[in-house]
Amino acid sequence: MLARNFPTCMNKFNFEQLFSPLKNIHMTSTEKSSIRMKVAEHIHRNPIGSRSYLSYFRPVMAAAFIIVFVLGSGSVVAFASQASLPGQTLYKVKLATEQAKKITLRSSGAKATYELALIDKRFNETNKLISEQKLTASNEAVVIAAIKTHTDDFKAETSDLSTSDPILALSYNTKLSNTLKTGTHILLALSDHQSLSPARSADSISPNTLVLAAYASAEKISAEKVQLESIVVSDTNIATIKTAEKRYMETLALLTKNEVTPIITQTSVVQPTAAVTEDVKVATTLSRKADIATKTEEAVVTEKTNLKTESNNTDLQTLANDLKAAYDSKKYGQVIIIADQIEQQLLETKKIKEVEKAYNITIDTDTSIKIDDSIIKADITSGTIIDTDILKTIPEIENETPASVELKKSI
Amino acid sequence: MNRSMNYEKTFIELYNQYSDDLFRFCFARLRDRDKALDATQEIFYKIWNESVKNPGKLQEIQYFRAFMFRIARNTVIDMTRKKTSTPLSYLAHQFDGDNHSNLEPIDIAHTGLNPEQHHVVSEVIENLELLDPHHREILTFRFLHDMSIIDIAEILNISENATSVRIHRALEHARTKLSHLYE
Repeated sequence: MLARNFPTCMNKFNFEQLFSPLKNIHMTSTEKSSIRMKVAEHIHRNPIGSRSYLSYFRPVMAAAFIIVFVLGSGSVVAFASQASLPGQTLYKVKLATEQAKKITLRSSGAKATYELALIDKRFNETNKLISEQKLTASNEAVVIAAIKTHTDDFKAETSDLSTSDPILALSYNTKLSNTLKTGTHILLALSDHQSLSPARSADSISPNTLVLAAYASAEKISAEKVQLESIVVSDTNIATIKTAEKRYMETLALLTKNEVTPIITQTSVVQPTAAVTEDVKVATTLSRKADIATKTEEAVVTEKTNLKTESNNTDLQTLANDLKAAYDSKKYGQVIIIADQIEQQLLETKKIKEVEKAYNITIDTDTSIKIDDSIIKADITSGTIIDTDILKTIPEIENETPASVELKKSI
Repeated sequence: MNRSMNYEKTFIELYNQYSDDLFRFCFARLRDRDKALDATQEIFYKIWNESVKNPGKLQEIQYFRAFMFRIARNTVIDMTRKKTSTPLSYLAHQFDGDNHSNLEPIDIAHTGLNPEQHHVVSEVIENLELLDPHHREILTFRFLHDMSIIDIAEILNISENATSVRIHRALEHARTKLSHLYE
């Protein structure tokens, strides 16, 4: 066929003739004039000299500007929100920013540590609200909800550890309960301090519900700790021994830095940490009985038991002695538990000192609140963190007296 | 203002002179009349935009036709890349193993040619498809658009010597691939 069309070209491979049929391809006059009109229109719309080099990229520039504006304003708002407190307009943005940041963290450990930092942040915000006498019932509810979320998230991140790595699980458990307890102590001290202030705004309240909720959570977590402690204490594998030795050396260095030297005394008895903590810390006990099933408030009895006047350093000394005793008697699980305890105690002491300095108050960590065991047990059984809604049913308290006394009076 | 108007008038004359040539190039590559028309329009928009960006540029261009074809080549490449879906008929065609080309089947429904011309054009294009794309491209510039070695070198941004070598190789390649056209 082609040979017929290109009788001469094929022998010589005349490519001009091979391509010649394609040269017949052209636009119809209608098509040509239609495009000509469009081109002329384009020319008139964009005359030479009317557009700068940049305006040629108008759509690109516009898109870039929008992106910069949206992202820019977003980050400005997010940045501005960081100083906001519960009850303020930008507070939700602050919480959202924190959640967004959490997404960027990959490991469970990093997420758990971040949740702890957020719990601390919530307590600091509440401290600020109390000092500015801006803590209202609604603000308090926001903080309680936020702390509950952080605690839940923390537990979700560390839940798998209890079987895979009990030592680490115990360490996280100690951190969480200590963070909650220290936060509570600081709140109480600040609240006491503020309640003595003559110029108190009508709306401001004492953070009683928050204190109870946080402390109940902390107690519940401490109770869970006992189980983990028994696992760690009975753990005698090589890895545990190595970890214990490492932790022992690290903790000794830490103690030396804080001018504490472990002394072996005859009276030093090695006990599980939960018992030690309770023995040392319980001073003023606010006991509150609540029936979860019926959700009724019955009685909160305050009783003073075993008032101890030892300073933090004495507690540290006791822990240091226990550490050495445990190490010497080759109770490696115990060594890890006490090392964790010492590390946390030092951290919490530092935190308390910072707050004392910032608000010019004295915080007594020997004040302890004891929530009735039935709440904790019921809560552990149900597998959830304490129901803060129940605690909200506590009647509002007059603010003339320190917070611990207020609770006592309310019942 | 007067100068600007002259510029516009010159540009329309350029369009009248080269639009068919560029349309042909686009049609041979895209094998779709509508797409080729769009591409032609786009090419002239781009050339104008270039002159708006840099008003003196068009006067300075030594090989204007090569400049237009370079823009045309890039436009066609862009359009081919933007192609989101492959027609089902084409896929079926490929599945049968009849067609090993990456090009769409030629749309001869609205080519503006008479039936006999359609037939010949489609046969030529089918034969050209037997060639490797880079050989086909350089032969198209040389024999369909009757371009000089200098123009082709400008379009492909290579030296004139390299262009000559490539044309030579493309011809060798075509002689082998199109040997069935011998009688």
